[in-house]
Amino acid sequence: MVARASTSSCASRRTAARRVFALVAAAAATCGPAAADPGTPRLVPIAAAPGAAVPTGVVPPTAAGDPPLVRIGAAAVPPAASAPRAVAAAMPAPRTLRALPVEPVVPPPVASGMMQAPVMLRSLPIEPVMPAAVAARSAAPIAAPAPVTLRSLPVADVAPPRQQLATVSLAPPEAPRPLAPLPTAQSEHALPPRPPAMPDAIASLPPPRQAAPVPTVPLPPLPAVPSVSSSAALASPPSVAAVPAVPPVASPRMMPPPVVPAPLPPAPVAAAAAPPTPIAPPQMAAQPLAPSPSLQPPALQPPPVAPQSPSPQQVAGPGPTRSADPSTAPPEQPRAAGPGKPADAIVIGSFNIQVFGESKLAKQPVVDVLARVVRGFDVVAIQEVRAKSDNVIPQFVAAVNADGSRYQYVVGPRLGRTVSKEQYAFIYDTTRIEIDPGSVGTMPEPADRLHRPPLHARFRVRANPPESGFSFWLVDTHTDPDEVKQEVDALADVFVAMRSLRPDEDDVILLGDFNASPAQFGKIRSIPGIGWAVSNATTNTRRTKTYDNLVFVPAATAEYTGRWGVLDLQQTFGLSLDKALEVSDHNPVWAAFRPWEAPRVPLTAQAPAADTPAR
Amino acid sequence: MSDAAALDPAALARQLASASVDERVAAAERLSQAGEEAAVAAVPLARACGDDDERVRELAVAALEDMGPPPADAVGPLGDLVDHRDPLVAYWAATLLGRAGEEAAAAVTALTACVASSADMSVRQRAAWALGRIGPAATRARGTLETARSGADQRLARLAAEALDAIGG
Repeated sequence: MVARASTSSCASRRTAARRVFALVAAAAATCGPAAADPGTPRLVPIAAAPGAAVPTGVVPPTAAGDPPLVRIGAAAVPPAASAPRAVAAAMPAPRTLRALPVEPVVPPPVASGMMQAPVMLRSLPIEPVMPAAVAARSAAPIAAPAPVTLRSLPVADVAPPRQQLATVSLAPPEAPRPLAPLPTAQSEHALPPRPPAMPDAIASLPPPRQAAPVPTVPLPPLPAVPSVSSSAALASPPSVAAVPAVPPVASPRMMPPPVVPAPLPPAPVAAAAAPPTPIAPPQMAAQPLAPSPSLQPPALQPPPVAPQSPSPQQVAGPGPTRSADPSTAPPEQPRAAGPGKPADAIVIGSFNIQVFGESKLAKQPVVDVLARVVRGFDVVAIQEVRAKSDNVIPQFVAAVNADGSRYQYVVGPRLGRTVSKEQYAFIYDTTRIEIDPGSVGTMPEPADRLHRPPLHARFRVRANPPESGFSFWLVDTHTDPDEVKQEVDALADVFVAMRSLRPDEDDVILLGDFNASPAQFGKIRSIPGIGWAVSNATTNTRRTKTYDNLVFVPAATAEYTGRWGVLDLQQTFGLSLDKALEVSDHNPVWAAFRPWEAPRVPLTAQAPAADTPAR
Repeated sequence: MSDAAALDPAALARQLASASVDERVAAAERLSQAGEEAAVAAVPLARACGDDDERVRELAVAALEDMGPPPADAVGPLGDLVDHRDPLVAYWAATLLGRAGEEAAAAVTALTACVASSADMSVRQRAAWALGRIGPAATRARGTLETARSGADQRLARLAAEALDAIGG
């Protein structure tokens, strides 16, 4: 069916993709309203009977000519979710992790001039506790979804009634349109008080950016429709004129899938007992990277700003982290340890789970390892989902949530030039991260250089106030190993296009399996100010290649803490090489970012070029 | 996780032809974990892309993606597979020949015919790419590549142009 799509349909999709890309480029600067396109891939808001389980995954075409759909996963919709703006009732219950003593592992000798001490801590079990101050804390309302263009389409395999499907604009905007009014605490859209996303120890800190207050813009309007098509965008030509304009309306259905609050165990110890962890100001913003002619990233150069040593609280978390074995780790990757869930940062990961399909899902020990990996990240980009079934990611996320976690997911369409297709996915912790549902899509490329066009989505850290949370694009990619050079160059174009997609979003993180080391990043390296997290470290399970990375502009993404790592499956889980390879031929990679949105840095203030890893 | 069988790519290659689906799945899975060592099984893996069982096909593709160039003695059999009725088999045969570079000069005729007449566009594209990887030894493919360069398929045209540049002359 989908996996056996005909060549001609593939060709038509690619033709459409080119058109989309061209339109995106044309519209990038303004991002105005979009006309709906009947062929545009569309997001399916999950709607179901109250309390009923909701099917998730990619929906096959419902009729001839219909593009594939992308669903945003939801474990269940609570009764309150059926009412407009009742998402509040479904917000995750407060959950705060109590930091337990962490045994520091003796790090390897730090090279002189290291920017930051390696994060080489072994995580211990974390007991979830109820924060003492949760009840008294008043959370600002979650931003109401920005107006999205909606249209009703019949969805054959989604429970009736007909769904309101979000479409995204493919037409260049005529002029900037005013932002949708933001909900206030008194508005009907206001959510009930919500505990802070960050543990008490962090939430109780003084505002992290008092010296440079942000955001000046009231809110990154989540609903502002990106002018790139959504997931199925690559499927059909953007026949904008064919769809009547629909007045933008705010749709509560487009909010992130609500999560049924789960009762938390009583707090034996007040979380506030943990000493406050100082949050460093976003120093990277004022620190343009100096261009370097060398291909050797100066990863070990002295930092321009004194690093902040992580406290035990910062690295405590439920993740499967363990320090790298200094005897086996490459000498220049002292930070190659798993992240856990830092209290002062969110951890973004990327993981190529080789041939992630029913066969792998049937191996419980493998699933256990994968689930533990995912729980160590706040949001993780997955590559190589290969299955005819749409149940692989839903079942896997259920396994991740088996311990009480509240992860959700987004799965992209099946992609590939042959009948052998792959899907991308994002899996994110809804207690710390929210997704902009209207932002999910696949970014095609006009010259058809990308075997599997990247999947993008915009996320934001749940913070108090909400608009202060770090928001960012993730662009998930997996290059064709036989056409790396062309694909890497195409990804550079995608990156630039994504940075221009929304004027209110300057944080773009391109992550995934590049099948290339930073030295082979080609045109990506020419992007002004570009950097990458993983440097001088191997990322495949056999420890022979550097294929996986997170690429961004550090001066713009000033939220980057400088902490990154490769989660070595063998070391972390005590596996033999053979058993680690049963999990994947890639190790996960990650980087940590501060949870608050940093002041935006004008592009002109960035270094013209950087030949360095992100610092 | 059960202990993985000892890696013996030659034995696993034979196992890929087993009548038992489970045996074939096990062999393909083990080879998908073998990295470059799976290269000795290049031809059986390419054939396995046409297996009736989807798991075998996907695992074979995974093995092929990571294995690098095939051994020199695989060029002949791979050349025979580029016109295989299953496009996925033909696609991977062409891919492996391209990875072999000039070592695959003996397969130029087969690849050229593939560019000219394969019913599957992805196979034609990959065959054009492979001819470019073979380089000057693929000179006799110039005419076909020039035709493809001016064809309607943009990707094939680009790959043909790149191949012509690589072939030179």
